[in-house]
Amino acid sequence: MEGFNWFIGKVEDRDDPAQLGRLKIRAFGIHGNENEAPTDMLPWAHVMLPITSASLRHVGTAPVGIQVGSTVFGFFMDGNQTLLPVVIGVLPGEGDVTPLATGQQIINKDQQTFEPVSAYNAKYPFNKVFQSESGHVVELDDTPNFERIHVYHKAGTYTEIDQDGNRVNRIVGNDYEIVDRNQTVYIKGNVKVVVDGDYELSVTGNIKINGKTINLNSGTMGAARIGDAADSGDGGSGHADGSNKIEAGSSTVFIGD
Amino acid sequence: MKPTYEPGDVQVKRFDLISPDLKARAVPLDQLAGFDVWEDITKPTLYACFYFVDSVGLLDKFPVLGQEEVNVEFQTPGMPRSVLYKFKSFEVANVIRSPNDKSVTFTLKCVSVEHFYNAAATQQSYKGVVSDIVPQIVSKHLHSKKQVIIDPTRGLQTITFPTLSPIQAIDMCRQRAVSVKYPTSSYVFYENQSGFVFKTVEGLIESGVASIGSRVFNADQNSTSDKYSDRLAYRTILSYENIARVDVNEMLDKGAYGGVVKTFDLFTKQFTHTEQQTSDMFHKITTTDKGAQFPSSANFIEKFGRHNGRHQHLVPKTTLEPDNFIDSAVAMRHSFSVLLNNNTTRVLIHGDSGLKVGDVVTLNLPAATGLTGRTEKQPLVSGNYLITRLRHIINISTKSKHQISFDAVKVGFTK
Repeated sequence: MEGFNWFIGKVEDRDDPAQLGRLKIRAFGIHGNENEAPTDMLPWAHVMLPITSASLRHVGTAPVGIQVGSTVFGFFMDGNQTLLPVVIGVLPGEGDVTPLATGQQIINKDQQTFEPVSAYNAKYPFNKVFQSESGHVVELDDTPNFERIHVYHKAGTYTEIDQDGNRVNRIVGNDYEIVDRNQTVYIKGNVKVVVDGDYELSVTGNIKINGKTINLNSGTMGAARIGDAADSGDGGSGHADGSNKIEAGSSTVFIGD
Repeated sequence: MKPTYEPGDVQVKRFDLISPDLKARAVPLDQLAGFDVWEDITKPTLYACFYFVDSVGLLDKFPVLGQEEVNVEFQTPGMPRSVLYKFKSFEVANVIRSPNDKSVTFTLKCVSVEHFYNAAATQQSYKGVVSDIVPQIVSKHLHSKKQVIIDPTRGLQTITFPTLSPIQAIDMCRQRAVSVKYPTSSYVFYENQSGFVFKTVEGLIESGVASIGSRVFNADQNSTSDKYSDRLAYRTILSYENIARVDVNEMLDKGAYGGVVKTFDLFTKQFTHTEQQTSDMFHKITTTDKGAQFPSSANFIEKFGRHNGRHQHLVPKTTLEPDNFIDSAVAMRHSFSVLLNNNTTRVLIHGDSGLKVGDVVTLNLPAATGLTGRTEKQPLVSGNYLITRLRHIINISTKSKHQISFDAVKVGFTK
């Protein structure tokens, strides 16, 4: 190994058969054109990761992210022989920086009822954006007075936390939450749940609802126990007009129709 | 009557200039005062100078521009074949007109025509063994039909050349070449009268020793110590000097007595550390003389040569690619080159048109005995030498004369 021989080049292939993140680079002024050196004859360039990645036994950042066409900077480990290139970074140029980082664009989210307006108000150079090739976005926005965290899926699902700590979750598909053990939810203020469709709550054990006033308003039917007549009129429980109270020991209650 | 010849006689059988447009040809042998041709195992092409005393207006009327083809053919009487060199001139130098303008002397400097193609860049990729790639570059980029004599290499390599001239590309191949047979892989690429040669120094020595034949040169004309005594006059060493002799400090410093090869595998992330002792190497290499000894005593090597040399080679590699074996050869190659450069003799002899760089000759050099008359052969420095540089010096006159000055190296000492 002799000398430090650096290069600037363009990525032509990233499908490394060894899956090490290696790249085929055409180094400007070194490798000639496609006729002189076809892509498959270019040497595989190893890539150098920052010290924040262990790159050891599955730990660290995967060495992927560069695209075909990216402009890279590196050096040749074998000096003037130029057959062992190492890429140490990419060079962004005109039109390469996402407008989310420059404050020139906000993601169009097709705002729904109850959905707050995005707190995005980024100013360059405060918004650290990672935008993937399919359109996923992660933003850590340090714009003064508009600090946000935003994780966005290309389908439209996102979580955004604004400068005051308000969080917006929007799921454009179905949402599943699985807790293997217990869950405690503490809400200091009020809760409002609006369901356009049905709401089904299945509990294997007991349900305990504690409240100063529990007001169940729905449909035309009252409450009834299993086995009760829907509306017997005999003064028993399960009356449709709700005039009789639900007695202690009721195991299942139907409300409404 | 059959002509008689003397040592140093030469027959210049052809000398012509062809104009750059190939439309004019001159045969100005009468204006040629002499010429020199250089061959060198460290130089990829030939170089020549032709010295003119022009009294016919050749320079101005032909005219000589320094872009002509120059062909010269000469033969030492008694040699089976003549030798033909083809050059391309590149400069008219040292033009001196006589005061009365009746003549002009000038020098026409020439190189092999391939040298002109070397100005173009070679940005080509090749896959194969180096010994297959080199002839392709010679043919494709140097546009040469000359033969390329090679020592086979091992290790499949994919080489995409950076912006290099063809000769630089060949030199890159030379550095990456690992011999199938010779452990030092001391490849050289040069041209001589036979064509281009891409061989190891060891390979040159082996083939050269086998074909020394009558090329046994004696510094003492009275010596009758060899079987070619009838040719002694032709094989007389006219003068010689030892221009480099073993310098153990330099050899130690440059790593001839030992080196370290470290490799780093970019895939496995494994480092290797291999110590290369020259004393071990010396038993494996091809020397100029059978039974030659290492140019230092065993005691010396034991004391000073068996330490980790500070001469280290770091060879990055990757097991994802086929092994190129460079790490196995780099230290020995380096040590061998230091050895070669530490024992060089410059010799002046009578001309021999068949002698070329890369040949091996035997030099019998005298020991200083203080006696007049016949001297003893100095055993340490006498023996076989590989010619590394050679200059044909030919003076044209009614009886042209030919001398050769060459530098030759000796690997090891005999006793």
